[in-house]
Amino acid sequence: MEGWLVPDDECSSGDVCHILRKLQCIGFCSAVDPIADASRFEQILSVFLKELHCKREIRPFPAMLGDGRPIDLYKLYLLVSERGGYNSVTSNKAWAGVAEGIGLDSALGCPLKLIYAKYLNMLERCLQRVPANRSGIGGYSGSEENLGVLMSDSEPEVRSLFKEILKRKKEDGIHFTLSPYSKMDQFLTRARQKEPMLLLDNAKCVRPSGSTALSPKLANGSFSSLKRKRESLVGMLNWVKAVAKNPNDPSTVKILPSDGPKDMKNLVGLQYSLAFQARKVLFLKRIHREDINTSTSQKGQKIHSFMSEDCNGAGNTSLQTLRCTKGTHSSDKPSHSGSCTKASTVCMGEKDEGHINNANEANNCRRKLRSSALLPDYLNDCELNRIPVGSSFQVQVPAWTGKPATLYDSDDLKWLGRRIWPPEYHEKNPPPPPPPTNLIGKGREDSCKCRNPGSVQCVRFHVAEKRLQLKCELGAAFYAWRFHFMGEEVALSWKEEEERRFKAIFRLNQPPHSQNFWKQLRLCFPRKGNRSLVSYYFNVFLLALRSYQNRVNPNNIDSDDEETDVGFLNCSFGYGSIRFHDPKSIVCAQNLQCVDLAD
Amino acid sequence: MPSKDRVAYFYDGDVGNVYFGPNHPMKPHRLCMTHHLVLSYELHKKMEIYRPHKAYPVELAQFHTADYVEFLHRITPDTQHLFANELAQYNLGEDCPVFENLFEFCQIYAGGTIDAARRLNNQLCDIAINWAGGLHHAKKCEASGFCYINDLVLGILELLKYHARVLYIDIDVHHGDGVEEAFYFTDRVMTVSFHKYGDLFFPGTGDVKEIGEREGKYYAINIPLKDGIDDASFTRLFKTIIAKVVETYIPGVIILQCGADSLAGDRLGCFNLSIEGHAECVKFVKKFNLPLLVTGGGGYTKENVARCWTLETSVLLDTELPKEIPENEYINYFAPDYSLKIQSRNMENLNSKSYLSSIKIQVLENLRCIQHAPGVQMQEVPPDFYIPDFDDDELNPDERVGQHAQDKQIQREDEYYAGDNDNDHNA
Repeated sequence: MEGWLVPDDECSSGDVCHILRKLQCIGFCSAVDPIADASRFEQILSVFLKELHCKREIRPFPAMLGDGRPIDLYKLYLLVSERGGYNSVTSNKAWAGVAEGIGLDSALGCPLKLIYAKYLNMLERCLQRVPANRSGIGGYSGSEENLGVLMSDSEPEVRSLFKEILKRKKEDGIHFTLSPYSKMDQFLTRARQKEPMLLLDNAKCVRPSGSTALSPKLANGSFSSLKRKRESLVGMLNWVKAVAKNPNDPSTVKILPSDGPKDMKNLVGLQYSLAFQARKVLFLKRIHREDINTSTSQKGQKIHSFMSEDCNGAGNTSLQTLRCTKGTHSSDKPSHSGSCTKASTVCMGEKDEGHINNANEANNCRRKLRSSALLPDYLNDCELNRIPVGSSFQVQVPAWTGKPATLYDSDDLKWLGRRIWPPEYHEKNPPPPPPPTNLIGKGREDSCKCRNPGSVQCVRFHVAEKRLQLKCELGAAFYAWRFHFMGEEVALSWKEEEERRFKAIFRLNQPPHSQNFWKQLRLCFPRKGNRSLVSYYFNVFLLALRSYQNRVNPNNIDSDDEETDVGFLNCSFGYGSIRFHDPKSIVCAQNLQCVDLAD
Repeated sequence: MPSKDRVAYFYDGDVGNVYFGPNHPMKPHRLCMTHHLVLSYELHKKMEIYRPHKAYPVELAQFHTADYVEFLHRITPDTQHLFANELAQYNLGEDCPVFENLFEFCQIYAGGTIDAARRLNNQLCDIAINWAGGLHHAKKCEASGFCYINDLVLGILELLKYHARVLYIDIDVHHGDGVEEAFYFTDRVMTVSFHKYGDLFFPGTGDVKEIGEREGKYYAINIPLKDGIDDASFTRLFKTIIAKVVETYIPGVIILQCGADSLAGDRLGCFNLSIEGHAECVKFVKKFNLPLLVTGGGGYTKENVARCWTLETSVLLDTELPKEIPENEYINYFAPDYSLKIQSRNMENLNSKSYLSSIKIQVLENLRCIQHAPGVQMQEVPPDFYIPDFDDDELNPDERVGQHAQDKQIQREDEYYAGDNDNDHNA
């Protein structure tokens, strides 16, 4: 009984060294000195677990049974390894034997199993993945090889994804949702089990439908937009969250299509593949950081081993996963609700499982606020080093040597811009100085003498009036600023027939086919330049659209959304009302007048 | 009060019809709308309006690498399929598409900012405005976030010829990463950026811990914010920090990037600022009475951009505008209420008081390091340097300046005068 309290250093140090070397080979415990520290199995294990859990879930050492008796983990590890590892001991119901082997009562098999699972299972799994040939240059085999192929297939995409994610300093969302997956502990937090489920479902859902949603390219395509809102990514996160909360609920798939009523299957598939990709990226990132000092060939191998480990995990735990998810469905018992509720719990650092659903919103907020505190260290490090440094990024700023004696020479002066306003002739006859008040200009007047104030005609009349006034006042500047290419007046250079064609093309190219809109326009109006088309689009077409929206649906306007349904195209009201019945009446008459004045 | 300023405003009629492509949120047409609204309000009567020169490639290469500038010059939508590698290398593509007249567009907006800086240097004006500029993401050898050429860096380089220290302030909802990166190592430019940070928000940089390196350490300031910040919290934080920054750093000139995507209801942004709150920041910066270069930036809800920048033009002109938008060609865009105001959204401010104050404390802490830093040149003191009355206590009674900090301030003032005398002596 006494013997197992003292670590058996002498006889085990060689083996411990071996374990350490294996661990270092897959990127762990690189800081542990193999000579000085190697004899301390628990020390190595502690470092390993810390690295694995990113200091978030540290197990206390020494490991103790419920009654406080310490357990020699090394002995336990050796005993279980002898019996073929955790899985085989479990399936052979041999835990009682292990307990006896370690000198305990055979009734203590179950607690021992728990301790093994908590402390040693991950170590075992990781070590299993290290191929016998540690140099790791040629040989991986079996499933690893397959994975190697898989990895190299998707590597460019993954890499670009990786780069982007790095670029975007992913702070909360994806880290939080995914970071549990990127940590290896398959058993304890169970959060990981959701990932295998993803994998399985991925296969189930995407492959039979024959869709290419898994194709990294698709995923990549929707990732590569950097600055715009990343609907797909946000969607993916929401989806992962939804699955985490209600894994058995088929309606989780419906959370996304609210974004866009596209092909649902594709969307779901996209979410799967996005989540999958994101996870991969996180794996790569983590491994990359841990191996910074090792050779690339080793790195490649390590990635494979990790990936295969995970996939095996998926296979092994699939049944468990299904059970777990069912458990969640009737989520009264937190102990059975397994993977998913726990996943969110881990994410949020929130202990109260009962409130998960009610507190969704609150959790989202809290997550954002807490993010940096909860961020695993390795990610924090990344973020701080992110400003690229070097001559291809920074500009050379000369030291300050005092104000230069001469200002710009006359040659430079012409590069100060050409004055358009006030115009030269104002120098000769300066206009009356502006009123000394701080108020300037007039707002719109509330009432006018039109027959139907506020009608389309009335608005157009006042706009034309204003334009005329500006034109007279500005003179040449009016043209310099292209004011004659502003507003609905642009339509004057278009024939009615052409305008009708423009609209027809727009109607034919409604979303989701809007990509061809401009191509077709160019084909259809070969004699109008691009510029003229764009000008018409913004100055006439969108303005008319907006004007229509103002009247039909004033509370929900988004003129920047180029994909809205354009009801006015089908409605006689829209087109007819933006023009006077005689299109050449007031506007043109006033234009002529104005030209006269300007001359 | 400072006297009336001479304001130079830059606009080129050719930017209005630049088109980034279908469904691209960046619409240069907003510049056309802004200019039109400025004129509808008759603001042109109080300022000079210039058409900028088109910056020459060699000017753009003051910051950017020659090969990148050359590539931008050469590439067209029709030839881009031949240059897949280069496109990837320079990060051109979806966010930064190649469109017709791309290079001319860059030349115009960069030329505007460069001209504005030169006019300020020549003391031909006190305030220069270039709403087309402010594309703060562009990097030395790649495009980023709708930005191809970093006109701000070029403008600052121009200003550095005549000023020992330049202060760059950025109130775009996105982090001003291109500018920060360019001047990360220098103490001659201090960059201060207020932006949304976290949730994968572009560009992902701008943590409060990014403070610059080498000589530039403590000369990059980042104020990371969460969704939904409102006028009250934003302007309070802005005033506290900027007042302290100006007092500490004593810049010779300020360049202010007024990205309008920090407004409520922006298509890409997520703040909850009203136009008044946004303009309040401009007003505050103007009060320092330093030469000021104001640029545009982001802003993806066209009509709000036009509203915002028109109001800010009027602020810079010390003019008040009637709220009702006058008749103009684009009046229909301003429906339904045809007003300069925009409604702030009913959204939660995720920036708790404690979060904001912890950010503020960190920033002020870093600023304090500057006061003790040796080798910061303080010779150049602007002639009519003016710190507006600004009572920090009043703004935030909870966090008074401690006695320790006050002592430091007194000490610093001594240094300041000593520097001034030295300068006289040398001259």
